[in-house]
Amino acid sequence: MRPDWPELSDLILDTDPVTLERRPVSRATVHAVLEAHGMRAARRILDRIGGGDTLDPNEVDGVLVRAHAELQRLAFEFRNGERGLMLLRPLLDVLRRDRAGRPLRIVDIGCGMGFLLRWLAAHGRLGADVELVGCDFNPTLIAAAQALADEERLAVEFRVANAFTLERPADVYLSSGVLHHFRGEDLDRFFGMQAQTGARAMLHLDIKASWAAPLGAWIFHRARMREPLAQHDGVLSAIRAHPRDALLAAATGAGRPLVYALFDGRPSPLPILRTLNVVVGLHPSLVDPYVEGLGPLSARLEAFA
Amino acid sequence: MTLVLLAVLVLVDGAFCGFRAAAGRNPRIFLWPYYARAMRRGLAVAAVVVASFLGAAYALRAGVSEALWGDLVVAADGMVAVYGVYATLVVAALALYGFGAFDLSVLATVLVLGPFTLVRPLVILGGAVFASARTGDPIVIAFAIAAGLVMVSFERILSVGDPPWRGTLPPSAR
Repeated sequence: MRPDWPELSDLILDTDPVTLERRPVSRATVHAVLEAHGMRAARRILDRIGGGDTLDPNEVDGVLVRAHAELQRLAFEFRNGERGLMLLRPLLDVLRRDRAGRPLRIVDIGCGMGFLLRWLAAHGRLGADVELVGCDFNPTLIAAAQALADEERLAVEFRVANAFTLERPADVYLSSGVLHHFRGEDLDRFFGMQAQTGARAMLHLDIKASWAAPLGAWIFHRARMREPLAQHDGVLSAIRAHPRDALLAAATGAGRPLVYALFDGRPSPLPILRTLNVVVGLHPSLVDPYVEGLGPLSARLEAFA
Repeated sequence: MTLVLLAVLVLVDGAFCGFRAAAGRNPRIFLWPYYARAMRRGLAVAAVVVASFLGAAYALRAGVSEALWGDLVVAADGMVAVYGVYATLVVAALALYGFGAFDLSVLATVLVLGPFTLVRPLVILGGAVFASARTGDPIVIAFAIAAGLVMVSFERILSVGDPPWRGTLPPSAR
């Protein structure tokens, strides 16, 4: 596997970014991409997905929902909810100081089945003044996320929507396991679009690139997952994880008004303790109070640039 | 005592297999009742397996020879030693995961819980072969390997059929 290999989950689903209409996916097209990269294992997984020349959208949805459910199990095990909360809570405390009475909106970009937001709604005690909105292009994942939230009476709204064009922009943008899906200019655009929305903060969790990440991902995706696509893309995700400098370059290249730093981003000879890092983007006026609010955790946050 | 210890190890392993067979299939947030049910299911299957193998061992003792029973106990001793070390490390890691600080819990997962799940089949089969080979009796070796194979298959057995939860997922995802 190589960092330039595409994830199969990104190839088997195609959505028009403007209309959000789902477009049919040609098996031959996906096959050609996989062939070009020499991705034999991915080709075998593709062959198991039903449909003729066009991939059966129901089967694709089934694979993706099962993969996301298994991914959620890993997120539980690695306590991603708590990880997000420990960075989010002091941020909300700071944002509350000058919000002028309006609710604070947190938007999860590419939320999938919305684990992070549903966990925060269930355990975060964020306050009644916080709105949680999850956005994704996949209607099936969003339908599942909303159904799960409703079933457990969690106050989260999920939408099939572009997170950057909501009628009211986010105060805080979140994402979990999304950054490595964007490469090159797409990653620059990802940060640039957030900066342009007027959001005052962003927290993006993703796999931390290290020598141990692919091995760890292989162990955990073999041990914990059953869905072949999840096993395949999980390991590839760790290989595709952006190095620290690339993440910071893309984020800071987005331009003002935000400044950026990595939490848990410092390289370590023993990277197994810090398996994820977080890109923290803040309006400059929030930096000092946020760092103060983090308390001892601030030692794990690099300087903002 | 050896047989009791081995039975306890198998029952605990069965409960954890029930947990793992259920994990990743239910994308709700509040999962303890679901996991408790799955672990009870694993425990029940393990209890049937323990009872079956004990019954078979007693039958062999009555029908073949008394000496064979002694060899089976020797093999069981070896299995308890191997599985006991594995189980102790897993339980220690679980304690660290459940009660340790955030970083320690992640460390417990990364160093023990994940990798040990992956090597579990090797430990079970390796332990069975190692323990039974000490006796040199082909019946004991076959018996131990059969027990090991059933244990290795626990999770797969518990995954047979529909997962115990369907909830409100879209039909395509069930």
